[in-house]
Amino acid sequence: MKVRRNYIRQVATDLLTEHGLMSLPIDVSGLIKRLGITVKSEVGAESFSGISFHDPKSGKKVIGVNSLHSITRQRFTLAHELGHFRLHSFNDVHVSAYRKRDPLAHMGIDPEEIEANCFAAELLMPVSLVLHEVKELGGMDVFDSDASIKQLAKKFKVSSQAMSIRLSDLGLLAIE
Amino acid sequence: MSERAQVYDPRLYIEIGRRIREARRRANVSQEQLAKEVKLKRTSVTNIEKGKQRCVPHKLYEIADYLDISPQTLFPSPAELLVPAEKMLDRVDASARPFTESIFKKAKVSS
Repeated sequence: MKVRRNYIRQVATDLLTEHGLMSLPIDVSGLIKRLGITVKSEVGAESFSGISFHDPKSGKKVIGVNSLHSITRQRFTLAHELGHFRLHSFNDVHVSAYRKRDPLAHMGIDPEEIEANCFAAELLMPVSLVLHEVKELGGMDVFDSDASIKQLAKKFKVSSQAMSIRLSDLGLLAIE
Repeated sequence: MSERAQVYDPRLYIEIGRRIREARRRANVSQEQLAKEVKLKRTSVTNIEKGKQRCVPHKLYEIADYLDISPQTLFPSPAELLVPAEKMLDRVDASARPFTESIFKKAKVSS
């Protein structure tokens, strides 16, 4: 399966626009609540970010998130799990776990996981807002891109890692 | 989409696909072979098996015929398409089970 990047960008943008949430930081919890999905948090092993499932019997839609993770990571997890709800069929429970060996590959094998990550990035860091914020900064600091990334990450309420991946995906960051 | 619609679509197609794959493997037939025999593209067979492509009934009969199974065995009963929470839990990787279980409990979905 090919990762449907353009389609995913559209789905995420439409969702934010429709709910009037195109402002920073993106209110991902509010959005999920409005969509009738219950969020529960629980202490989990470091490698587990979250799960999502749809119980056909009760019709309940639930996202579980690891409460031990940082707020920024939990926000990414919420957006990632929401991605499964919007993009994938629910025949199963989706468990999102970081593969221990290479967390940077962010679960880079299963196409559905890649799509959910792609959705999370589009939702939390919409292109239009990223471009706007970078412009506000007066462009990326070429000599100290880390500082710019940190500032932007704070605005978007995401981890610096997620921010830097996003900027590089959008071609706004020179690849080291 | 209504809840009922969601049960049948996509679950029905996913289940039919799973059954085709199972039968094909049991018959020791490759996707290419099956595709050639029932005049489908190999990618169509892949997608049908994943539940991403909807196969028309007469093709399902052809597939069943070639794999030497009764076409009826490809169709799940409506009850089989409902996956209750407890069953979902069985499909979760063992290492993720405690976490999943307690989320289920908190969300009051398990029996």
